[in-house]
Amino acid sequence: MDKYLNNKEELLFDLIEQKQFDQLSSDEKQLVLSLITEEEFNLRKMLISTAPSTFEDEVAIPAPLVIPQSSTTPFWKKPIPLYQVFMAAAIVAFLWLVIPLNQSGADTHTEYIVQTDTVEVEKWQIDTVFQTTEKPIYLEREVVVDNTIQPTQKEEPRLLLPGPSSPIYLNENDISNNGSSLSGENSSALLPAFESENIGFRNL
Amino acid sequence: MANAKNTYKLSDEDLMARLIDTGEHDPITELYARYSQRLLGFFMKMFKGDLPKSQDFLQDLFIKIYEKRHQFKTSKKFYTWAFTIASNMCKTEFRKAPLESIDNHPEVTAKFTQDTDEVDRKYIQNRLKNEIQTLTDEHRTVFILRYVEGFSLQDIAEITETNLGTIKSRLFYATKKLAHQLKDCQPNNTSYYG
Repeated sequence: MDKYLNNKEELLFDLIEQKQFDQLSSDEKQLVLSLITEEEFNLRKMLISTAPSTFEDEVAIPAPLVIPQSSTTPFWKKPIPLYQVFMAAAIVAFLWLVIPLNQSGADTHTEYIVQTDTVEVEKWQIDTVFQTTEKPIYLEREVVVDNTIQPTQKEEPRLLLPGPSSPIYLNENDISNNGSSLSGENSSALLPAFESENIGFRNL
Repeated sequence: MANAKNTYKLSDEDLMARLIDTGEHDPITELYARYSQRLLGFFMKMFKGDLPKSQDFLQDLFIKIYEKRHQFKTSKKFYTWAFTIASNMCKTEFRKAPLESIDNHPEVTAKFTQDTDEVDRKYIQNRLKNEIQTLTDEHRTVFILRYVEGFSLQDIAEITETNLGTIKSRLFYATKKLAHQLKDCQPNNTSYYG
């Protein structure tokens, strides 16, 4: 590891590169001679001036350049500038938003998909109907029952019984026997039929 | 395809921008045509002139550039960025397999015994080239980037991902070490090298 040059050494370095010893000022000569001799200064100067022509005889012809196919980067490995990535993302987002709106009109493809979806829903509905018919449904409801008791036996028609075997003889003087019979009345049908023995006239 | 034919008119950074956008091969091919020679030279300097290894590293470098094109900032220079990747590749390689010391090569050390009176520019160049390889990886990298490839100190700091003070320090000590190793190459006429 070379140590860094101090100020004098750095100045000496610059002087060797830039000037001949004869061209140095007295101060510069004094500085140079404090570090190296005049001969060494000239030697170093000679070396660096000879160096460019040192390799003149080494002239070689380069072989033709061959870039192997593997060095050619395929397009998917090529670096993409950042702004192009953002532009692509913006275009995708724009299309994502715009394309569904544009397809709201008559589009055969879209309609076909909708029809297919409808068929699937219809099948599902048939299955639902089948299931609901198989299951018993219990319903609760209030039923009002009329508990009124109706007579089950018909009352026998009440008939008037024939009169007593021994007729009542009333005062013939007071009672005229010229009256009309009740059976001749029209309203007699409304009267229940009485049997003769059940009438109060019956003999007790 | 009409655009592909016009890639040579575009700047490095525009080519990279097109490469990032399209992933087409035309921009990377054009960049390869512009810089492959220099980058191959860099790898060869770093790997002691090992051409096959340098060719492999050059191919790997441009494949990395193609694969990591999205990491490139068009506000920065392509050339510096490419050298940053190249420098990191060398650093990783040096960690895995440190370079063999140059002292083990007799053909190189033999040159050191030559008579210093015969010093000429070529000889110094060869000596310097060999001595550069003896530097540490960090010193060698900054020395080559600065004095061979001609990058500015600021660019080297970017390429090696260090600060300016560290770069100056590494260059200073690298030059000091080279001067010590090449002491026998003392120039008699300094203006010749200026």
